[in-house]
Amino acid sequence: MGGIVDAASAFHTPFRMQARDAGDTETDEALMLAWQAGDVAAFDRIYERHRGGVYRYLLRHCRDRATAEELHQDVWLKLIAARARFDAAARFTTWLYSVARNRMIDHWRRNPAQRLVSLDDDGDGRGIGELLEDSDPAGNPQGAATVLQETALLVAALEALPAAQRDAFLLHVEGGLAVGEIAALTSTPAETVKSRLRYAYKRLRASLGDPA
Amino acid sequence: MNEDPVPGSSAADQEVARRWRRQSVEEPPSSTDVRIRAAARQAMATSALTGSRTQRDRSRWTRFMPLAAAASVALLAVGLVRLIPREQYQAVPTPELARPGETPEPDPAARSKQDSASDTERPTGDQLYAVPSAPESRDEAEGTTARTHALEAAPDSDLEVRSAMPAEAAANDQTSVEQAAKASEQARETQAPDTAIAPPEIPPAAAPPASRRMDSAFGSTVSAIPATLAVRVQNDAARRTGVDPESIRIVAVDPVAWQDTSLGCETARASAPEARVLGYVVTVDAGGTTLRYHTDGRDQVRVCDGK
Repeated sequence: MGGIVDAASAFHTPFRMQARDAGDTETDEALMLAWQAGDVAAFDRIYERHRGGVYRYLLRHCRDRATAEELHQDVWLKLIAARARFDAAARFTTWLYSVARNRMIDHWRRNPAQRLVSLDDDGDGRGIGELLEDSDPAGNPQGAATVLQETALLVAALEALPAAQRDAFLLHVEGGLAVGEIAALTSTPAETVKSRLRYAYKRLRASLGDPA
Repeated sequence: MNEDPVPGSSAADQEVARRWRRQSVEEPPSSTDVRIRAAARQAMATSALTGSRTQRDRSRWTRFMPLAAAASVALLAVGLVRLIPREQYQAVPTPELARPGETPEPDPAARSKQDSASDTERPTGDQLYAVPSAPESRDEAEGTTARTHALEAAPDSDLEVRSAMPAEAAANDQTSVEQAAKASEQARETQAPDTAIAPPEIPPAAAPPASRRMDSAFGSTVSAIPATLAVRVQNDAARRTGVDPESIRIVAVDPVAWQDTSLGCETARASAPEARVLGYVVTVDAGGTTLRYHTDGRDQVRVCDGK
């Protein structure tokens, strides 16, 4: 199990550094307790850490920006309403992504047709190209083209995955959840989660030209 | 077997993850962020307001809770008392007793009442404790009722009850017994139900005490006088008259206050110590024979004819 923890830590560190400011060493759980005690600023810090991950998790699933924004807002409003029920013994990200996942499932149950909506079908006019421009501040056309190609390949590969594998991959990458946490959140055996992740990584590697 | 046991930990998988993060940079619009943060602040403000209101309401409830509890208990007690049938607590006599040889302190209120009554109504001084009102006493003194004759016939008697009459006089004057019974009946009818079988007490000077006319069988009078007295009266009357005890009926029960332990019997008065003894004059019909018993409030039963 130690290997799992180490691997997860190594995997998540770059992502977390992206979300946290320098010196922001308080854990999510400590911030939640502070927020429960009435510290509004603690919520701002939690939200700043996880707003991107939750939003992208929803966006990759529903493939529609407007829907993702609506779901994103619903998830956080649910979390705000249920803040008093948060158990500090549990990990915050597990709780947060379980709320997001349940909201995603509810959305699919109510709107099954939206599962086929493409990521490019952006209601506010922002497509992948625009997103890539945002992600490449240097504005290098060559680099942008490379990223565009790579993004298209990765997104296409992700969308081609079965929903369960895609879900496991997104929880792993965007949510930073370990295998055991994904297993608990999805009520799935850990070995099954491993298998799903393994297959997802393999498909994504293949989409990038790495058959290994 | 070459597969990584932990997905995502191999160099190839980490490269995939790095590339994924490189392109996966979408974020929610700032307008959504503003709404969510505003909702969080509003929730905290509402929570603080609701919490303080809840705390205020709780403290208010805590403050008034003892009063509310006391009021509830009082209402419950009143309700229970009202639900109890009146006969149950009215039929249990609780006479103030004085055993022979005991000299209990008289009740101050009753004593003052008696003193005032004796000052104005009793020519014989403190001999009478529970005498009728002055006009009726005077009527009786003028010979208008048989009971007055009885009292006048025994001026030294300790019997202070207007309805009481020495047994010898009662035996010789059946008419007076019937008059007394009628008077008792009238008084019983005019009395409120709750006073019809009240425990023995000193009658007020302005209201003449009424005899308790017993229409029921003998056994049922246990509820009007102590059971011990009822049984003793029954047995004594049966012994004296030879009548079946079951056929003996109590005609009237009058609460009285005797001046000494002789219970108003002249023959025993000489040796009886002075003591205020509350009891009854019980009139019994034993097969057509009327017997009048002097009793205390517990178990002393006496017929003053010496038989």
